[in-house]
Amino acid sequence: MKGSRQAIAELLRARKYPEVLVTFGAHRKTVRSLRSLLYAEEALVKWRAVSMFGWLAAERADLIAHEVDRLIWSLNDEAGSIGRGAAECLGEIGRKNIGLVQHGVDVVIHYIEDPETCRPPNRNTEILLGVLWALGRLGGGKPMRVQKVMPVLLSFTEDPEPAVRGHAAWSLGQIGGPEAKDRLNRLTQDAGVTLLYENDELNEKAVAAIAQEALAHLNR
Amino acid sequence: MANHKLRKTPLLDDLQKGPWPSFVKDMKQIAVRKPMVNDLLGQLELSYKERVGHWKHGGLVGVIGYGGGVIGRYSDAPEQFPDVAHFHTIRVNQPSGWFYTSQALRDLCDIWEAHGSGMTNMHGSTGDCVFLGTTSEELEPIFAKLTEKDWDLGGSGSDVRTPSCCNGMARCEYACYDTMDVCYNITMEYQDELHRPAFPYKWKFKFSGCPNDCVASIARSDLSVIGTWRDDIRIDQAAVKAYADAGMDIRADVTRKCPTACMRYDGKEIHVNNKQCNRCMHCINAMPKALRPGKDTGATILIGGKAPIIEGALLSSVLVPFMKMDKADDYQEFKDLMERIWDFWDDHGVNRERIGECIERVGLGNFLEAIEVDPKPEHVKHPRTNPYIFYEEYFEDDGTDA
Repeated sequence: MKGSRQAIAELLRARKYPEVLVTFGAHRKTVRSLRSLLYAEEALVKWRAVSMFGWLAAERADLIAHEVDRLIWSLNDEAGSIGRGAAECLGEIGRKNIGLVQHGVDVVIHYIEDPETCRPPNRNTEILLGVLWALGRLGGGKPMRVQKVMPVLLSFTEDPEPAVRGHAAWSLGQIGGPEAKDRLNRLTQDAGVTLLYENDELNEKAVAAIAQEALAHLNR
Repeated sequence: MANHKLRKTPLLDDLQKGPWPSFVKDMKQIAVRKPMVNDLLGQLELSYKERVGHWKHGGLVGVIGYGGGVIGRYSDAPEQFPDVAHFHTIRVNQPSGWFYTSQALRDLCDIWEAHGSGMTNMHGSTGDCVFLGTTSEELEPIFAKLTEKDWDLGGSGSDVRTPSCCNGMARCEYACYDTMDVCYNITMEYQDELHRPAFPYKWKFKFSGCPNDCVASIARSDLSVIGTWRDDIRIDQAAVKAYADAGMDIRADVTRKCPTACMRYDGKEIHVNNKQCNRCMHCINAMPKALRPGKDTGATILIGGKAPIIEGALLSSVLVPFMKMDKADDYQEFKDLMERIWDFWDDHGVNRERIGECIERVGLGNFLEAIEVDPKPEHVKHPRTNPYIFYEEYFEDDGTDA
């Protein structure tokens, strides 16, 4: 499988999602390789695998319907970082085909509500960033889906880690609402920097810039 | 002398009494230099006092690029025991057969002494060398030092687990195939799957060189590979006589204990009806100088073993009665079989369902058909006594109309 994984990674770098199925076949074996790319050391490949899951949700839901339960469970797997990329995938799949992840929305929400998993000293920041990002994808255009978690989400704009503040800001910009604008205004001078995946690209961005763009988006 | 105040542990102290080795004694020795172990003793004492465990799962932890290999553990009383607020376990992929050089053991211990509690479990039931107790911040430095010395992490969680094997041909004359070579080969073959989970759920390989199954593969692995032979048990009748001359009651201690009654002793020699032998190993274990496995050796592949989690415990059952474990062919027949099983499981397994449970749900017949294995009598549970199984001769035409 190693060879196919590397070749799929190459296609993902080039954003050639349909070609992955054309080259390796529209079957679960291909999804299996995609699953393992969620653990790729190269962050862009991991994120593009997330995007590919979203693309499949829109184009070939039958290929990934069985993956959703696994993703949900992996967020609670006690071993290692099995849950890496799971929240992001649930968010992206939900954005493209909410019918596939109805139960997954609650799991993502529960994850961020649990202080054990999301607050220092025990939290895994990478997983938390994925959950914040997923909430943005799930709530974008459909704020009611994540409305109940808004107070918790707002609180992360005051987090000591800039990456957490930046992702919370981005998420609030997707979801919107008067409280979101208020918090975003407070971040427009934030000098922190984070890596952020948006529009299929992974870029380093200042928290202030994320907040300003989010506000512009919400005021449009 | 410790720079920290040692915990009082009156209940644990009781475990130091008696003639057996005590883990409390070992931990107390380490606690003098390691505050983490001192707090571990304190928390354990509290657990004995309250009869409640004080570990919790907490947040996900791991190293970048790997899905498994680390198990997050946190204290639920970090204010009382701050040095075990984090107490993560690291699984290190053990060498096949658990052979280490003394230098390798020193390397491992030096890394662990510098970055963890200093306590190890050699070895965990998974087979790994287990490092017990470290903090989230130390995970990446430990991983860097391990890989610098050519070690790697083992598997954990919903993932291929570290394959393990008996020490086979290295130390045991019963080994019917090279377990250590197969184990290493399969570990390398599934290296990606071990570290970047791609299997539907847990998957354990274990390799035993003979039917004694010293790694208990039949009970502890999804795919058990147990050495066997398909020709005749080798008999040295002179050695049989020597056993008898030395006072062994061969009828009472050997032949009458054969579960299939396939052997007899005529007072001078042992005779075996090899077609009836079910490889229980009793006779060979009892008379190792007189009886040996045959020369045409390979392995029986069994599938479906697991401990109870969702369904009850399952023992592996026979999938392929005999397979040559062919090193020259890079064990390709075994790998091809494995790929077909994986494809089937990926397509038909439901969430958190081990392969044994999946086979029980879909039925063995459907499973065999899907993985292109012909049904055989060996697939039948207790084929000699199962009243629902009929053999062809049962239906032989007796000249009358049924």
